[in-house]
Amino acid sequence: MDFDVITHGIVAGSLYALVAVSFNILFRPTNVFNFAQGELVMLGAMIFASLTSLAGLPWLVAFAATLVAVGIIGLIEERIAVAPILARSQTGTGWVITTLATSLIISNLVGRFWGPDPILVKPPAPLSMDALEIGSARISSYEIALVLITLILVAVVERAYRTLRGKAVMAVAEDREAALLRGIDPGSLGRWSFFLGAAFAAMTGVLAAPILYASTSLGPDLLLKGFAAAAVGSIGNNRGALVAGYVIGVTEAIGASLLSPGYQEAVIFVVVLAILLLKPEGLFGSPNARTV
Amino acid sequence: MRSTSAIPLLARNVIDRRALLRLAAQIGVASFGAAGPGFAQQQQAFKVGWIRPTTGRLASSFAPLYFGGLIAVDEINAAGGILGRQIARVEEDDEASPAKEPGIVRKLRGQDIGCFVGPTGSSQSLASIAATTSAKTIQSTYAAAAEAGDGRKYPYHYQIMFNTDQQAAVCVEYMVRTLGLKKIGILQENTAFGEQGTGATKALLQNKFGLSPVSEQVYPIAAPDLSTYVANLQKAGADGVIGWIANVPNAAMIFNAMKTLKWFPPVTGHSGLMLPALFDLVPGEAVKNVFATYYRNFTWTDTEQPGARQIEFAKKLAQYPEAKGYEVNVAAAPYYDFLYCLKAAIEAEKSFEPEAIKRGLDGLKNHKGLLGDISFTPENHSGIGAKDVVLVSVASGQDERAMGCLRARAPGQ
Repeated sequence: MDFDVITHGIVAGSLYALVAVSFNILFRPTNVFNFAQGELVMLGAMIFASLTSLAGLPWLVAFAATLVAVGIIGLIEERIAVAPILARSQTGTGWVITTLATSLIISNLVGRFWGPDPILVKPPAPLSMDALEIGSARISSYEIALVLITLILVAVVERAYRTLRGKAVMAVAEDREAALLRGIDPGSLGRWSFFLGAAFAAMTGVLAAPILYASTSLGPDLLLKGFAAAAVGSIGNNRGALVAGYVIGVTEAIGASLLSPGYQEAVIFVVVLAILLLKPEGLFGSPNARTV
Repeated sequence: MRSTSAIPLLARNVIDRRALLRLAAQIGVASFGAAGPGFAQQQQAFKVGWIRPTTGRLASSFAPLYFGGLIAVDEINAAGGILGRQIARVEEDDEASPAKEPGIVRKLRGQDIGCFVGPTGSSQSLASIAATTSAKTIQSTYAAAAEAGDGRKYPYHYQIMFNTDQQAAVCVEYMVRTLGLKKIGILQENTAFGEQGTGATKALLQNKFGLSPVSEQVYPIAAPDLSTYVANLQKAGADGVIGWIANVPNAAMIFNAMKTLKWFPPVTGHSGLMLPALFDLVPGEAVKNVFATYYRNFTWTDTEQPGARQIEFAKKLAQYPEAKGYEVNVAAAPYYDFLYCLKAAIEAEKSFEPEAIKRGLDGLKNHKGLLGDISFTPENHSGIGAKDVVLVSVASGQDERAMGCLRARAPGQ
């Protein structure tokens, strides 16, 4: 087996980890899994591609505009599809249907704005998709940058949880009612988390676009494996999501290289299932226990 | 059986009041029966069910595939319709969902519509055909699966496009006979279309040439990277690749992986490889050895030009701005030819009844269609013959002679 296979797995794993982190950002203060997250990733890629390739905006301007635009869409989703459910019951699970419905609505609407053709998104200069030969591995400068950016982003998100607002998020995640008694507004944190989680998903879409091309089918493709990475890495744990993303990406790449066609897809889910059977709370989680 | 005609009455040379009234009534009924429906038919449009997604993710990508049908409706109606009746489309949105198809068939049949255009997509089509078969409704869908052309299984469905068996035959013949290659690899997407294509390819390689593929790579269409699959083919020593690839992002990943590996074997495959969007995603050198299945009538060589009718169609297509970039798919769609086949069958049978249309279609021989000479038998409902299917150069899509839907035939074809 070539080292090349591992590098491809790490690049794909970075994208899965980013999707998983975007899930976590939303989940921590709300306990909601946003099933429209894949569509938000897709929207990020498509809006960015349209702004750069079609409208000709500079990379950074388009990047910022995309994050704000998708962040606002996330906020609207929270207001319409999630907040009314949580207002009735903090433990209600109606958001499963409402976030899924949001996903379907976005999926239906995008077909009216964009055609089925993928749009080429070039990496920002001086990065490129031209392969560099490093030993037996071939990897482009953009792919190296993507892996490094992923590590940095995870570190930044983890750092953010050490700020006062971050600690408030952790408090809400731990005990919503107790946090409320301490003067923390879970509703406000929920709105912010949806805005930031959606913007993070959009950033994932932008980062994925030079490799996977911007297309309306991009989101669902990443959603499933991103969700698996979030589960394997322990829900809410970003470092776990990073490791799990790499486990899934590398497993997928090795499966494609070594296994017969019928088992390539299955092997990923066998690995995910095996990990969750051995550690139901994920690689970095601990069994739920509360001292009262 | 007792005769009810007027002739015995006159022969008896007796005219009584009852006989006269009976004769008058018979004449009235006869004239109403003959002229009434004929008159009504001239007034009423001939309704055709038009099944396509107008909502959902695939709405925009499937919409252009019906432009050929729209052109045919306009042409036929402008020329006076079918037996004096104009064609009227009755649209139903299937959301490109196989689960919706049986309900749509019931709804259209409830409106007494006996001929359907669409749906598009193999799984949608097969779900719909199952329902139209029992409803005895004439239909043509955009389904490449070979079974959709089996008249014994689906006696009311007519396939007017090349199927996976025909495509595989052209690809295998080209690789083995024309290029003289023996080490052939298969690269397949993990869909029903991919499985059918690979199955037909392996069977032909084995049965006709005694060969087995040197490697068979099946990739998930959602895979973020396909270079491993391409590298596996290279490592297995494949001299040529037969690819069952139906979406542009996957094709772009594959050809970019070949560029990275500096490996450019001849690749043959599905007509989906011809979409111009590929040229934006892949450098020219990566597609210079790529050939896709297409219709001979739409191709040129150094000595032959595309048909005049096909050039005219390309010009008409240029008037549809929404078709830009999808001209190949529009031209290759079955609906233009289906409507003309329908017209021919109805005119031959002088009836709009589904059973009569079926009789007319089953007897259609060498109908000069846009895609080729179309013939059906009661058993074989795959209308396009093998001689009309050829491989074309994907790179020729950038030639100014392409006019959107015309292409250069592969060398030796």
